[in-house]
Amino acid sequence: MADLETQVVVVGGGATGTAVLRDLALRGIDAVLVERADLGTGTSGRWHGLLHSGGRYVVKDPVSATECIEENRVLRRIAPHCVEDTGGLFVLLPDNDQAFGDAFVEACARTGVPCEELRPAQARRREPLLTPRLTRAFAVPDGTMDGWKLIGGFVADARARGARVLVRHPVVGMERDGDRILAVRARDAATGEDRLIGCQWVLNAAGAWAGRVAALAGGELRMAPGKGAMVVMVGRWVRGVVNDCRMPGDGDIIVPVHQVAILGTTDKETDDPDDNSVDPAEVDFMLDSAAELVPAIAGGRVLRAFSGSRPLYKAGDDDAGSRDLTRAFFVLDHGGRGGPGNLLSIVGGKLTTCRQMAERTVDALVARMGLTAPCTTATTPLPGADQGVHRLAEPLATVERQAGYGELVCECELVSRRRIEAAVDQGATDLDDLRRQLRLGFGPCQAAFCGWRAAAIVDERRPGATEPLANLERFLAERWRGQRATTWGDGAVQALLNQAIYRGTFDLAPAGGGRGTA
Amino acid sequence: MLHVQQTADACVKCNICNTVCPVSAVTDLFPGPKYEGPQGQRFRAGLDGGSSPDRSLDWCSGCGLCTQACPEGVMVAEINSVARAELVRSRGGLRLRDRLVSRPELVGALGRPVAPLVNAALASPLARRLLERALGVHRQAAMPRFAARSFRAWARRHAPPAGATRTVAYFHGCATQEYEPHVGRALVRVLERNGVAVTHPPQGCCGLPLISNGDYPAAGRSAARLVARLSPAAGEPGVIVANSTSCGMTLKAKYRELLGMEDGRTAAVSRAVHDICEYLAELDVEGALDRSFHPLPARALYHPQCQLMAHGVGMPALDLLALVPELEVELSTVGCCGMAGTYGTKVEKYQVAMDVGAGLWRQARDLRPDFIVCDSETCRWHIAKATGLPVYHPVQVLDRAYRFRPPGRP
Amino acid sequence: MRADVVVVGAGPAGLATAVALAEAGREVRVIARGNGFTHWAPGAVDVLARAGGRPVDHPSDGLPLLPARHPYRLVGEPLLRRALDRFQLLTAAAGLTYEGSLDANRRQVTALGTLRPTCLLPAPAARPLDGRVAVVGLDGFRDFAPELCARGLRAAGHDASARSVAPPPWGHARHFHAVDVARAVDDPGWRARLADRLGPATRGAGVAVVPAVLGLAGGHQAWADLERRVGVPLVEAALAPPSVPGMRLYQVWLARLRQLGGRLQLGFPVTGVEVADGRVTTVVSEGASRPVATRCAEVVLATGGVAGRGIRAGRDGTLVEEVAGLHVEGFGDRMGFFAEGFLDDHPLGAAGVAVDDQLRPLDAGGAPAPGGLRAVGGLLAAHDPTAEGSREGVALATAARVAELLAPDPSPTKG
Repeated sequence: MADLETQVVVVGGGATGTAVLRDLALRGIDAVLVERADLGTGTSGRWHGLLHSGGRYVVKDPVSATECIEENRVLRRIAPHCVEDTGGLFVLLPDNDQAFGDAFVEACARTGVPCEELRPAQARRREPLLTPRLTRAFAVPDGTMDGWKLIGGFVADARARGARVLVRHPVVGMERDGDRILAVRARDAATGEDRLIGCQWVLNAAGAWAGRVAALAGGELRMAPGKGAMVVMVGRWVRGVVNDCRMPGDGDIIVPVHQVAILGTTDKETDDPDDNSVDPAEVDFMLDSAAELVPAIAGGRVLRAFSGSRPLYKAGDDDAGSRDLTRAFFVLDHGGRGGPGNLLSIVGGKLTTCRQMAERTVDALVARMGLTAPCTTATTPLPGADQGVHRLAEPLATVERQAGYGELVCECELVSRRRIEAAVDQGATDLDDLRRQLRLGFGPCQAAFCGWRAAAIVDERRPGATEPLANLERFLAERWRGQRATTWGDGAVQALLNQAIYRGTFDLAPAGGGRGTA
Repeated sequence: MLHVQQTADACVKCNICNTVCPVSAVTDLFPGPKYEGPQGQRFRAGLDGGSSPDRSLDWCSGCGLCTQACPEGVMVAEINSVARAELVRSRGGLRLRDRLVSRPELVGALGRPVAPLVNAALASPLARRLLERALGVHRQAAMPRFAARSFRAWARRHAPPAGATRTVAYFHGCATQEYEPHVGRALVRVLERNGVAVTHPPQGCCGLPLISNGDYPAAGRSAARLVARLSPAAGEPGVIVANSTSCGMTLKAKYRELLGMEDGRTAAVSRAVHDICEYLAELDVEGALDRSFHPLPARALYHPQCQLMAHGVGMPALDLLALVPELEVELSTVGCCGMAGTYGTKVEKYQVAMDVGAGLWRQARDLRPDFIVCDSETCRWHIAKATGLPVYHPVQVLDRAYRFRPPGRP
Repeated sequence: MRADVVVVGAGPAGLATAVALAEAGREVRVIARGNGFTHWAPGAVDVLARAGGRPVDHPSDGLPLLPARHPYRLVGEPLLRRALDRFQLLTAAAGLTYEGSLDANRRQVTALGTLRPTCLLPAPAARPLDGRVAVVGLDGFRDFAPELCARGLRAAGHDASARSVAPPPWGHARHFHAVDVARAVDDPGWRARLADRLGPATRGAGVAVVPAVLGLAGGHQAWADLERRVGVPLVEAALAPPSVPGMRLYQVWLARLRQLGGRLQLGFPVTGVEVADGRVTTVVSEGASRPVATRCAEVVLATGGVAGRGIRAGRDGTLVEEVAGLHVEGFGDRMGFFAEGFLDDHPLGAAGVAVDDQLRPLDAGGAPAPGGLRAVGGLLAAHDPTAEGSREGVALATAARVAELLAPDPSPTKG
């Protein structure tokens, strides 16, 4: 017998899944979302933060480009607080195909992406660190997004309208009767107990893992995840997004997201979307590529590197290397693909278009359900939208307004004690969850000072829920994983100071050995 | 300027800068150099400043002790300074008081014709109360007195002695010119004693008060004017000595670091600048310093100014004072006296300035020196007022030891 | 500029060396980029906590297990002992008593409730944890969470409970860090009011653990006074930087150096040395507008390894010694710098300049550097001060060795 009953189970708590959940909720359809880890830990937690203007696709993939600019406007309308209006530049370098500049301008016009040419001197006034070698520059309405804030907004809105969310509940199976899924079996990772969720429809929004979820349902779906590595710089380096003006390729973008710059990216086919390793050679490549656009960045301090798998879908056997697969998205009805009949998978796409992907998916579902329920997500603002567009200096202004200097737990990212306590009260106890929600430990010191402060606060607020030092060590270990390939120079000094604090002063020992306690 | 911002990259968040900041030690109003500097910097648009909403950074006095203590080379004070300039720009400029106090040349030009009146007013408690009300200059802030005759008026009539083997140009600065020409005269005598002829190129304000208050455009104009005037001296004689360690630091480094003046002429002027004690100490290393000082039996407390430490030459005055027989010199244990140029004159900041210097007043009270020695003028006035002791520039002590034999000695 | 001996670096090794040299009769000038590990490390004297991959309870037993090129092996145990003795005398004379000896390690309570091994403990950290332990924090002080500390002590078998008291009214209500509290504790009036609050919070306890903030000036006076007033032994728990106990030690070293006529210049790194006739003649440091040359007879590099910026770790795995370009064994690529686990031993921490038993840096072929150049402290190869818990011990031992080697030559002509 099912523990829960609902109309729709959404699998996957990334941008797509949560957008779908919200869309369903707005249309009055009851739904439960299951996510194997925390929200936004898949590709949505491992991307470069770009709110596409579409400029990157105008020549290569015009359909995508138009989708992007449309959704760019929608997101600014419904979730401005998740967006920073940084603007973007496409910069033509002397080694590029100079004819691409004109092609770019024409393609922007054709696809509806606003584009304004700047004189090189103008471009350098706007971006003082831009290479003086540039030949032409074009301004487009790129922005940057806080993916976790967006996901959080989708979920808050959905919950307020009755949707339910089960995090840390990986799907372990589906109960079927012939061609139909009757229930989804999800395991509570904390207790090990299975929850059986009875449903009429299943929407598979598991992104790069969609193939595995489909397989659990007996469905056929082959994903071709494209692994991309990104490098995070300690400082922001640029005011707006800076793109290399050429056919989209590797290492051609610098994205300022909050206080850092994210250099992107690479693209390698992979079988394992859980492989988050980064090669030092990739790091070097991206740093050198970024230095073509911003020469001084070559001497900059790298914070860490990470990688994520794009949820690319292999439409057929022709395979031109995964970059050339379209970024367009697909709503796949397994009913027409060998079953099950009540499974829809949504694959492909990019975060900028998540709302639109959700709209199409729920439209398809609603049609099959025989309902009339139009989508209103494009015009309904998310909770928090009244805050307006995010400004970089806003956190500084907030602390200043409240004179809350003493309240700060994560000083690098200006995270106050109050905000941590609120997040803990809402259920977040793992320090990594707090990191995603609040940016705790994201700054240059990589949790050297805030890590143990936060572990203590979690313990204070929810006594017994965690073992503070274990919580801390897990967090530090996870932070460390992203740093090995990127630590030299200034970063190495920080790393050794952090060792002196945690191993030296606090005497934390590697599990099972070392100096230890009395 | 961009380079200064980029040094924020190196910050390891260790808090050492916070341990030395004299302002955050005495007031809650300043969140500290780490917060305002490399930490806040990450929230200001791009690397170039960008509007900083934090008024609290105005409490930074610019002493620079944070930059000196930082193990990683973060230019904390300079990052603060640039952020302040951006704050001022975004507010449309300085308030009237700050526009006035940051223009000592203007104040000098306005005040000199009526110097006795101004001196009387500045000494009158009633007038000071009115000034405080009208302008925001604290009634008790140490103020100098106009000298009867400006330094340049004396220098014009002063003929250098024959037989000089070297020549230096002298950047006297606004304070020597208007208020302390006797310091300038002492400097010239000491140099001439050592066979160095002194020239007095046309000059002007170095612009530091404008920089400290955050008006970079006006500071840039002042700086450009001064560089143009000093540029010939940078070539010939090739050495420019300065007795104000604040002005000297500005000429040596701040045009490049803060105002982004990276041209060859500015660089040449910067390279040519020597603090007077630095210059005399270098002469001594060469064996060319006249060491025939008379004994000066006295106890002195030497306070090396915070901005002297920003020259990177150590404390050459200590080496020089050590050459004066029977002079006992004790070293100050505080990093900053609190005055910080115009900072301590402001009604809202005066008490902070007094609290910052409190350790020095205590040391003076315990030690009971005969006089105090300090390389920077506004500091001297502030210290003199707070301690009641005479405060001299090191070159004045040397001048005295050259010229005056204690009574009853051969 | 001119000096007799220039010491480059103002961390524990630089200051210990400068003081030792000054006490031996040399005139010393310290030139450093900035402050260092005195302000970061928790103020104890770590001599040896781990050797041969295992914890060490008695440093003297662990010394022979160290590799032949380890600084302790080069300096020798007798000199290490003498250095520790002299350290205890120096600090005691300045009101900063350190307890312990080379023969046994002790435990220092930390803010996380762990008990870090160390050799010499300053008195405020040295009281035994006997009986009921009252862990007391200060409201609003984010660098000490009393329950976290108490929890750790309980896991180690102590009967520990946590409380927090409000600081007496003061001018730092809005924000403060350890040094602000320490300065307030220096004020007898504020201290008395703090004692009034600590009293009830510690009543009936055998000992109280508090954060290491009990005074900055005046050595251990404030702590001792507070202990008397509160009526319960007080133990200072080690905190993350900035380290107040470390700063107390820094002040003692600095005062002693000045007393002996030495100088400290902070804020400008040394960028090179000049060599003539096979001997170092000049140290070149950055100046505000041009390099500053300081002629000197001897140079001692105490610039720390990578952590102190004495060595720069390059993107390509190479290591460069920043002052004199001394030879440092690099890595094939930077993935060799750090181990996979955050708390593992990291090879970069042990990287350094190889020296002979006279602390003369050796080049790639094993030949000593030009005359007049020595190296001390974290800059030296063959040890990792963090992983093996030896930072202050190596600083003191190598400082003592340099002082021995550079004590003034009685002969009238000195190079």
